[in-house]
Amino acid sequence: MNLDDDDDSVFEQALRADLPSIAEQNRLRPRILAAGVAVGTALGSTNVAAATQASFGASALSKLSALSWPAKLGLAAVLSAPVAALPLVYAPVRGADLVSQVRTSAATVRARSAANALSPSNVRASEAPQTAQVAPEPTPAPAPEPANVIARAPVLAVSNLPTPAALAPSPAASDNASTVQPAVATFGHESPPSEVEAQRSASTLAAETQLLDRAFAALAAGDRSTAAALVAEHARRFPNGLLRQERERARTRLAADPKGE
Amino acid sequence: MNAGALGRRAVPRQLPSAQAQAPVLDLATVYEAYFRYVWRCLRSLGVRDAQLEDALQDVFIVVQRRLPEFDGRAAVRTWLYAIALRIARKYRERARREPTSLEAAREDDPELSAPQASVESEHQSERLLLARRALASLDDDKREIFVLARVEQMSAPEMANVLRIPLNTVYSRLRAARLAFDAEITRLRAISRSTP
Repeated sequence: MNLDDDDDSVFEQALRADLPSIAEQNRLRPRILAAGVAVGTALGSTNVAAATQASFGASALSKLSALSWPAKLGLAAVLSAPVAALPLVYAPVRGADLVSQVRTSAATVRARSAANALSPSNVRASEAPQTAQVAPEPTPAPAPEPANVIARAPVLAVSNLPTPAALAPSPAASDNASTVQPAVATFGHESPPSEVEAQRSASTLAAETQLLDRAFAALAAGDRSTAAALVAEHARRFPNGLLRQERERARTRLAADPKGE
Repeated sequence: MNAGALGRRAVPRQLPSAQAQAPVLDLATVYEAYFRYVWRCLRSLGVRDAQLEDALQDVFIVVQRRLPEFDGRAAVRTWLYAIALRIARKYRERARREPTSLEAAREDDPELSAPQASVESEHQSERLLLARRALASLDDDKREIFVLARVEQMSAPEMANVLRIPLNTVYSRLRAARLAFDAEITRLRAISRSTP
């Protein structure tokens, strides 16, 4: 059999024609789009870093992908629930979700520092609503009246936080809020994190995601000053955050593209 | 070098063309426009049918996360294939590590697999089976560049970008891949003719 170019193209054409049906595309659409939005919002940034590397050996993405479909969807629901519930739980700032999510993370970090120092009074009254939101008390709390919040906030925050020993991996951690941020890869832990820990990680990640998404959007729009400010804000709030690789990527683009083109 | 071997149809008609300006993309738009090509690419790159849906989900999770970074400088499909390529590598690696089930063994041997429903004619099905078997015989490097060039019809510079290899390596590797593919096709057809 003579395999000239035309004959070869027959086989290549067969490969090119090997496409899924429209029905298959329609069947998979809801599943993939739902998982893409939910998991992409909660965990995608760590996956991005993994997927863009040549090696996938021990990446978070490979561990995530190793899960079965039900496990993936369950995980997506668990991790996205705290983010999705923010407007419902924190009605007074419903119109400022972005600000509230960012401040939630900051308040959580500060509250954990306060727990380490065993000094509940260190938690400032202005951060109390966000702290209560992340770790709600079992008994219903009244509306966040400023006077009540001052008295109740430390109790709400500290009673629901992990023990100081669990939060202080190093002696220097107590003075540096950045060192008490949530663990980087929840998938890498030998034991699963508690529900509170998962909610805190998701909230922090949501805040990080918001910041960097806005930074990249500003970059795409050519608004370099805004992008630089947002990157700097992320670096200040989350120096060791989950999305620090994304932040460095944004920083690299800022440096490599001084004209914003 | 034969220009045809380099995927000279850089922008095939059936694919949406590269965006000249920064496009406003969302996950649903990318899914509608490129799902079928990502599906084909993953399958051609050796992702088993049983893992295909998981691999597709992984690709679109990465797409969702990286959409804010996408500024339209590169073609969307180049960007997508770069993601798909790395996802496919991961699934191939996992397939090599995991014990082979009977179902997986059948998938690994395209001759034993049923043809896809979208390929209707018998001749087309036979060609597809032969082509898939020949593809499966290539090593990973050759398989990737053959798929990108001859199936997905990417240009040599695009492939160099996606595979992160020098342009000259693209040419030499593709030449070797085509020779290996042709030799395997010839061998398989000789076998099929000699078999009653």
